[in-house]
Amino acid sequence: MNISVGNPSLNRRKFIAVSTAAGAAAVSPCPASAGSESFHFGLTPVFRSDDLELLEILQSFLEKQLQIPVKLVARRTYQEITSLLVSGQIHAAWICGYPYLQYRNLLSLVAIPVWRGKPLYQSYIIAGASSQAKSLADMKGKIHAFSDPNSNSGYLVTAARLAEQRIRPDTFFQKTFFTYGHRNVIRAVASGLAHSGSVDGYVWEAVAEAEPGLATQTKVIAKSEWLGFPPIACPKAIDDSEHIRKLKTALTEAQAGGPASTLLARLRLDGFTAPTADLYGPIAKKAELVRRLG
Amino acid sequence: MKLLKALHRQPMLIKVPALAALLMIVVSAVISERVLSRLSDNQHRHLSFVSDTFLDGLASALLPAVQRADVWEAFDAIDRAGRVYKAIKPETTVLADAGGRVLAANNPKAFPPLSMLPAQFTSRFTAGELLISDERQAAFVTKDVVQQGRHLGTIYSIFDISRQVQERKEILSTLIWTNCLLAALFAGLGYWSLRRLLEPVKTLSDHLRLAAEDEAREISTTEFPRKGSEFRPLFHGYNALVSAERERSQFEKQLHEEEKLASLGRLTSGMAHEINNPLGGMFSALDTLQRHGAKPEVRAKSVSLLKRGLSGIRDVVSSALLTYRPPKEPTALRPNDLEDIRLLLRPELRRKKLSLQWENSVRSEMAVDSTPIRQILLNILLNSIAASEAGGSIVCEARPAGDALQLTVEDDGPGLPKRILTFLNTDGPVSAPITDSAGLGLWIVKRLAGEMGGSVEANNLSAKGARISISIPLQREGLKDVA
Repeated sequence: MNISVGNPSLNRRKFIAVSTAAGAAAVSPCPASAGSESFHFGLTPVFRSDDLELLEILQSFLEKQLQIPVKLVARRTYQEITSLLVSGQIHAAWICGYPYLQYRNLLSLVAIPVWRGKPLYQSYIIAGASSQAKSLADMKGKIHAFSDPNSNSGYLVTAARLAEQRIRPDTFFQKTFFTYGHRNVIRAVASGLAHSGSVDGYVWEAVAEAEPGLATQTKVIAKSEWLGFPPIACPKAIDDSEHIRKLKTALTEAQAGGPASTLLARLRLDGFTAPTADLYGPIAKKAELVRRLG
Repeated sequence: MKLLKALHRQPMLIKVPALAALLMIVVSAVISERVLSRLSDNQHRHLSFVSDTFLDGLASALLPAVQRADVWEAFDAIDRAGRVYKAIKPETTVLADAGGRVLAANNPKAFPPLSMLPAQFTSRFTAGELLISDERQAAFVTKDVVQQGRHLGTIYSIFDISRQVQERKEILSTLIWTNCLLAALFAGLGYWSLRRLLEPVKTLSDHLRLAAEDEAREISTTEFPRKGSEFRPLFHGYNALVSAERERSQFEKQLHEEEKLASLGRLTSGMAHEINNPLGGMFSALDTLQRHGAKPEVRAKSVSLLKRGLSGIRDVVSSALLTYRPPKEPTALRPNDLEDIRLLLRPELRRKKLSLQWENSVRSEMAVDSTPIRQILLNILLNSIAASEAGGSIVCEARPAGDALQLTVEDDGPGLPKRILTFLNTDGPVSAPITDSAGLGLWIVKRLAGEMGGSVEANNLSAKGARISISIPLQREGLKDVA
């Protein structure tokens, strides 16, 4: 801004007025309280947040694409991340289909990961490698590990399966517990802490490739139908903001061979795609089934 | 017992260093035991401390999980703790709730959640104490999870202590090897230095042993200990003793010879009489022969008288010769050898008007050396004659007694002085009473008897006089016959 040399007192008043206005504009509350400071990206246990190298790769990719500092926010439970997202304390997060559905009025979908050619995944029911179990029915009266109460693949799918027979998980199994991590479900079943577990199929497959020693201590007993992949979501209020648009572009244009190749390879994803209309319909149905059982 | 005896018989030069070595070994064994015991204590204390720290940390981490009975959190904390601690290896860690039901364990396959911990498992633990099982190479510890004084749960942990056991084995092995080496070294040093110290003693004792076997030799200066050693004066003393003994021995021999001459001297006048006595008769026989030699009966009578007289002279002379120029080799004793002595003493007996009761029961040759026997008998009888008063009587008896010759002489003189009695009756070295000729003669008797393996017994008779009795054993080897 040029300040012409003239009457000093008049110019000074002008300067103060302009800068105050600019300052006010800068400080005025937006739906996301961090204006141009940094971009907060939330991660749930879907993500392998124990893989620190992966986190660095993700952070540097996002920073490069968004041109501003990026802060990765990890929380133990889906609930916490969803709350942060809904309250606008983070700008975007990789959540699960189930929490998205629970808050679909307040959240917008940014992009859907593509895995093995489709934006779909399955929920696996796993047991120990030496287990004689052949189906979910064989798990009756035993200890079962879930990942998160708000996880689709790590809870809802199994609960809905049982709800079809009008059974609740805590009466079907001897005991259930939450491990708050898909990899943790694999650990629990592999160590024998639980006889069976419900786990994200994508995560199980990724672990089978990256840590075969761990995965081979378990075996997949049952697979669900193909369901919508855990999406990247953002608060509805900022879904048209510059950064969200940049994020959307960066993700949907990411492909092998480009700047995202390390990230995609690490995540074992093909890329990201724009959200489609009724991708999470089947999950909604399951949620309804479970809710009605009470 | 036999072993102890065998050990006792070892020479001092082996016994003493061996004892020193044994002492070293015992000392080092005791020290090793102390060290090991200390090491064991230290290891135990260290392990106790480390495991307490581990459990304290774990208990603190598990408290929220126990409060909420959260199986996963408990498992996750236990799993993480097992990987983080480097000082110890927890092989098994189990968390049970207040009721003894497993909440989580590091190996859930062995301890599934919701199962009851068996008594045989929990009985292996004692609260507040580190228990070690050597066979399993494991340590057992337990700690209660407590909040606000309430017992919420219990942690049981089993640690693998194979590393500590290995360490202890290595130290034990090192200790044993070092100790063996040191003990051997010190034993060697002790043995060598003691040998050096005791060498003079060995030299001395060797020489003393030789001396006891009558082969006393002076110790040559090359075998002397170095200057300043406390044994040096001893060696000098020993050599002085040996040379004194040699001198004495030579002196004795000299005396023996001189005594012979002395007794010869005593007998000379008697002998002269003996030879002279028949001479008168022999000359008158010769006269008779000269004048009336033509008559056969005169011739016969004179010749036989001459013969008798000459025989008598010959006997006296030959006995004297036999006594004083003895044959070189030992010769067997014949009855006549003893008769000769009687012959030699006749003048002395007559001179002092003593009567001799002579009983010679020796009928045949006896296997004893005749020369010293004659000397012995001669000396004793001379002694008795010298001691007797005029008109006294002497009894002399010689008889074979089993495998010995028994000689007994009794007189009725004043008796033998105590000194001489003691000297004659005592076996072994006793100072010789060589103060007078009587003592010298008897001393030679004792010496000669001793040389022949015989024994002397002397006592004074209750009434009057003395009695000397000699017993000489017969020789095994053959003695040369007298020519």
